[in-house]
Amino acid sequence: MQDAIIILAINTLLVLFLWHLYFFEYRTYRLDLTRQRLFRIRDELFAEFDRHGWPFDARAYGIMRRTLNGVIRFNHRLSLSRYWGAVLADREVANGELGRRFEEEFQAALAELPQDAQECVLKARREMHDVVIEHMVLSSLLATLVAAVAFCLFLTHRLVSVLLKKSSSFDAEAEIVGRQTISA
Amino acid sequence: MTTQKGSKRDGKNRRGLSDSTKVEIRRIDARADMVTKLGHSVAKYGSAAIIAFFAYRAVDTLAGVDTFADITVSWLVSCKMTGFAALILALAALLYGHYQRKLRKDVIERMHRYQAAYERERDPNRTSSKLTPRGDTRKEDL
Repeated sequence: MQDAIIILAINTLLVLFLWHLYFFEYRTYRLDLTRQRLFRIRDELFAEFDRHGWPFDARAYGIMRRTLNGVIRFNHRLSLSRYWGAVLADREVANGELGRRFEEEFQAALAELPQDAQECVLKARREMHDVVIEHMVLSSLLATLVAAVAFCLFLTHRLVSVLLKKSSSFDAEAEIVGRQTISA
Repeated sequence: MTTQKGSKRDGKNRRGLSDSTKVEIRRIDARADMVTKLGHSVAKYGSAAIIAFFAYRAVDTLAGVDTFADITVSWLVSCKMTGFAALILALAALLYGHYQRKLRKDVIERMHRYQAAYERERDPNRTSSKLTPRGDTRKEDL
């Protein structure tokens, strides 16, 4: 009886440690990691503009830097529901006007830059999206589980595709076996 | 001050959204924020409550108050579970430590060039510890 109580106490503590590790340590770590990645993107954007002598007062640079700053600052509030909230708010209230105007303004500002600088800004934007999506998925338990299942399904699909590509060898052998069956 | 206000107003005009639209957007945004916070709280404290509930049930079962011992309760008082949970915890803690260290090194690598550039600007004869950009010992110094 006493042994069972001790085991129960140890097991409960172990589970609570795991709970703490996930809900406090891991969550904080993910936030720090995402911010570090976003800072790196911002630094690289700055370094590229500095190296090539592109103007820091270019509108596209300003928009990109402000957007990155916004994501860095409010990263702790970023989640899939907030993401959909922003999309819904824009679509339902402003008929997508907010996003459309941002895109127009961004593209117009981008056109003022030389080709290389445009690619540099677009690369920063792509990387920012990748980091944000990864953060949203991996900081949610449910989304992580869904993503893990989706990843397994993707791997299965790839495996089946590889197997199907080699299907002619399999078919040829089956045909030979089939022929032997007929002759027997 | 007037110029700042003016440019702010221009910014609003450029986006071309009325005040009521902005309020509505903020309202939806706040609602989404609430859903996020609620979801996080339910996941965090809900799971803690589930752990507490099963621990309580296990105590009752051991004391003979509750005679119905389901699989979760019997798991909580089994030695196999102790080994399994300890293994998972140890692995998770090792991975956590490893990635925390990697993150710290990433930050050092990102920041060191600014520190070096600033110090070089102030002191052209600045000397260096010659550690790697990530703050590690150089291979030839080992």
